[in-house]
Amino acid sequence: MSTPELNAIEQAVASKYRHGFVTDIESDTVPPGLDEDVVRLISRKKDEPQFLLDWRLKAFRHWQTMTEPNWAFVKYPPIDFQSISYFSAPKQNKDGPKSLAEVDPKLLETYDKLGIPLHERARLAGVAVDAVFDSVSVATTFKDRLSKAGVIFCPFSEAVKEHPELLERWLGTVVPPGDNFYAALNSAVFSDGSFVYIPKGVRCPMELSTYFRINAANTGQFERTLIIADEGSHVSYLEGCTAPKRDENQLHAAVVELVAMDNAEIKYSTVQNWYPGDENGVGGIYNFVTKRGDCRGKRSKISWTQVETGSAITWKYPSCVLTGDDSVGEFYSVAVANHHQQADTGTKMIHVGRNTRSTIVSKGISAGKAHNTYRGLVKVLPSAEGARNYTQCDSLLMGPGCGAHTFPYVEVRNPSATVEHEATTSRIGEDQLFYCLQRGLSAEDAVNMIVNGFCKAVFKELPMEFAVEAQNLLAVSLEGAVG
Amino acid sequence: MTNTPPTPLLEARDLHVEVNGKPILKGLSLTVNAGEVHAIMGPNGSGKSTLSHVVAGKPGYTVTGGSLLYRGQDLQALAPEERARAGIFLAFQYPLEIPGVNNVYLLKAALNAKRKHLGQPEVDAFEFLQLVKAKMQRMQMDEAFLSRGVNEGFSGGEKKRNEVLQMQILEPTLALLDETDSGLDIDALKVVSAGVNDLRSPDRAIVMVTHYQRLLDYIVPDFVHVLADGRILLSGGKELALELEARGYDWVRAQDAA
Amino acid sequence: MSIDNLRALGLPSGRDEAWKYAARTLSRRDWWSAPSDALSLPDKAAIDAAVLPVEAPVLVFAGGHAVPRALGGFGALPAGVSLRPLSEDAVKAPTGDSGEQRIAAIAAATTPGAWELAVAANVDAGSLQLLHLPAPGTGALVLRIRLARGARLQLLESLADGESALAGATSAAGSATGSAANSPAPTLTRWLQVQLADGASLTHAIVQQLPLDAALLEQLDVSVGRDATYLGLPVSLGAQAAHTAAHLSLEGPGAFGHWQQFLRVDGNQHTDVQLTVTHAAANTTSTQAVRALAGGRSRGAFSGKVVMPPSAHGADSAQSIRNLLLSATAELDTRPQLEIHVDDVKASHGSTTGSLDEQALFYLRSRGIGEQEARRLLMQAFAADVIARLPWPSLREWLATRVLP
Repeated sequence: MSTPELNAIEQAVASKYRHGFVTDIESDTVPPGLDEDVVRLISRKKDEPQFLLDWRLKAFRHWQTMTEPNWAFVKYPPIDFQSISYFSAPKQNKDGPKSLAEVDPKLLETYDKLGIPLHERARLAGVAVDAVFDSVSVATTFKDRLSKAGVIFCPFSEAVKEHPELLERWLGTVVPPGDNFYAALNSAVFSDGSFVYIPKGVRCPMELSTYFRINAANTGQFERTLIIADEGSHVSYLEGCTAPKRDENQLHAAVVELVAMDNAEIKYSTVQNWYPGDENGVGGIYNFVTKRGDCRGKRSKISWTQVETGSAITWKYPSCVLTGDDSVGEFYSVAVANHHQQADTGTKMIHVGRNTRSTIVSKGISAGKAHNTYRGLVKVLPSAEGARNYTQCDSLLMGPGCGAHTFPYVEVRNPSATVEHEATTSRIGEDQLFYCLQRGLSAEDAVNMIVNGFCKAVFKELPMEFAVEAQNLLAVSLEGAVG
Repeated sequence: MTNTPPTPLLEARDLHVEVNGKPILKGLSLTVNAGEVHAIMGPNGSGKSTLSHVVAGKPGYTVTGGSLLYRGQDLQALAPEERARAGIFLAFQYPLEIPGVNNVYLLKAALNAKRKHLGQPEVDAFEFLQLVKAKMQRMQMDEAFLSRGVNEGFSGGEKKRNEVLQMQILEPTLALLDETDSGLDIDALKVVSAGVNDLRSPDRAIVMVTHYQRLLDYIVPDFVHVLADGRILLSGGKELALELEARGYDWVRAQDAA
Repeated sequence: MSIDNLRALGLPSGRDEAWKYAARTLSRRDWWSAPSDALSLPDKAAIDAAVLPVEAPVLVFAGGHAVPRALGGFGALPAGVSLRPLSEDAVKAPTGDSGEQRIAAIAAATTPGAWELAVAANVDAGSLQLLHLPAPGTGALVLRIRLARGARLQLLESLADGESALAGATSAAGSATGSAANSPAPTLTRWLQVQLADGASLTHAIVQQLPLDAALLEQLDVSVGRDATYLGLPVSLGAQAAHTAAHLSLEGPGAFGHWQQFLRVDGNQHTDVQLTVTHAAANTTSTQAVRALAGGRSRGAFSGKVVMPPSAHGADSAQSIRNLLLSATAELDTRPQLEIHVDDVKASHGSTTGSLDEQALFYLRSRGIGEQEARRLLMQAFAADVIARLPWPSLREWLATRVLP
């Protein structure tokens, strides 16, 4: 690549994080540190029933026996779990807001800046939104319309009060409290999140959406999402994430559990844009997330689509356990890492039932000094007669200092299974770039065009309005990052 | 049929066939005698390919009713290779590529398997090569094909020629041609048709499955059948093909329903 | 590290990524007893029976000992080729702290003596066969293969089944009551260092048909110089449990490294191969092809990691892994890994796992080929592209009949 082009690229790499403002709201924050008393305090603040406190304490005790995983292709200084505050809620009137009108206007302003369609825009967009600010769910729109359809979509803390029987039945059945280090931590201290239940035969009348934002300093965010799609139901769920710019790293350790019963379908889309740190690698979110879906029912389907552009470190493997016969798991991912970001992400597809099918399409883009790793497991158990998997895993390198890594694991124990894996690593095509430049496109536009083409197979899986947002995010993350 | 017919080569009576639990043939009856050339025409999805596959014994094709006899013998009892050795040959619509299995090796193994079945000695290697080369010339095939894997990297037309080459070497008693004309330009169609016509003889029958009348200009059939909805709805002479070409298939269905 | 220290350490567990898919039965074997100093002498008939059908001089090792020519061990070496003992200092054994270097450490600690096979500069040494006969109990081989600038060699290593050789060996060693049947199942530790100077070329076939109760630990450290070529052709057929760690380092610009493996497991066999190819220099090229077949209750695994550090400008790597599962109780695992730290490179991998193509099977049967024969043909075809790389037609033919489990 010629020097002028490289310069244009470097200039463009100096892109700014657009969501890096801090909202000045009085918060109710628990002092840093973690012991059983903090777990009890969180549970008490949320007025939880005994079973949930017991569940948390069990998870906490298990967590204490565990060590942080070190197998991921990421480097970071040790995390002092005692220096993190495990609960932060915006201070409110004691009884909480009854409607959007009662929500702190500054909060709404924040969501406005984030471009969250909370008010009329939400109605126009037909999206029901649950917004989680730091650790507490702030507002859920469109409750009426959803409840008419029988759909439960509410903050997790509300579900604890309103639907304890559903929680007790489903919580932790996909990601057990002791599943891994961060899932155990989450199980002990999770503060809020979203709860969704789609009754039998219901096609959720609108897309459901949650926006997560970490605002307070020194705070960890540990939200928990549980989505249950009962027999024959269908839901599409969107998740967006942002955080302010801060010099210190912040921990985000969420757990998402999905359950799809017979003939049910869950489509879960994420656009993750946590603060990635600055161009020197200072600050940014540690995004250590456990996401798993259980295709428990026959002919059920769970589809994960993610566009990961943010976070200093991403450690996340949205997975599917294909238990039901003829069930389908999908994973579509675009992961972008620029500057000093490190992403280690991928999926696990566990084929248990007969004729289960899975598709994995992963597009990793590395620029600057970033490292981007795909890590995936396709496992076909002896019971999974006729299982099929297809994996396509491509990496695009932009610049001499970055890294792209692919670590797939394929374990097949049934001879009737067909498992295919393909991977390529290449740099952005100079010929393509030159062609575009010769036709008068700017380097940025050319790169955008090529990268969007590279990611097309994933973007087309996103709901329309998210796809546009994802493309814009990609452009911002990569402005000129060609080498 | 006349009063004292000889045993037909192929006789399907009220044949019902399922594929993956789905009924495809629903009471098909067809009699093919030695020396005859039959064309089976019909719309997409009517079961034309199913008929040729079930005769060749493709796994997954289950006879659920009626009978399917070859020279009076129930075909269901025979494995695909036993049918092949007994003289049934299927020219596939989409001939498979089998990289690593040599073309000539397959030809020779297939011929020897048949000869063994007939109690004949294995073919002499030199004579066999001469035979193959002569037939390849007839099919206008490049000798480079000899050293390649079965259909490996062949174009669509080359694959079809290779199917007919195999047929010429194996000299089947009942040849089934499944859409052999599809994907052929006019020159290739002439070569392939000539190859098939070489095989016309009083001891042999040919059953062609095709969409188009075009093939029948080159391989002229004695009988034309319309297969639709899993049954033979109408049979006639070669002029029926022209009528179908002109009028489509709907009128046959309408007539059948009436 | 001493034998006692290594014994205390044991073998790494499955948590060590380099040993993730290794047979657990390996750790139940005795790797630590030093082989007896007394050379077990295989008899001439046993050697003759085990030699692979290739026109080449033969060198014989038994349990890690080189068998002297005077005892019928080997014929004349080609001109420019030498075999000499290596001093302990010259071996430079790794400490064995890391799981990746453990095998070398065990081999160095337990071998009765290390050897160096060298080819002088610009000598084309043609073909050479190294026949390894298993000895009862523990065997360990440390061998350095060094090709000087521009040297060429086609090396065939045969790790023989040696049923008869074992019987012969025990009687020759004077244990009158001993027989292959009740002597301890052989274990063999092999550490091979291959050093290819600039422009050298080594074709390195390893036909492993150890007895079905044997266990094998094998480490290959290959360093390839400027414009030099290493072509590794392992054919893994035998042993109950086998673990191979191969490190292929392309150190000089323009170096080539190829690994074309055939792996077949059946019964209760468990074989895993852990290959790392490092493109340390610019414009280096590597290919990896693996064809694996598993029947019975067996397990096979191949991990192929390609590393391109920032120095690997212009590097090119392609990997193709194909697995065939032949039974409902067999397992095949695959890890095709890429670790890329530089952008002007090309790297790709593809892997497939499945059973024999039913369509192809029907096609062949519809031409009159019997089912068993059709399966055999397809399995041969499956292995054909890696077997075809063996430079000896006689060996290819010999192998063609041994592809079926």
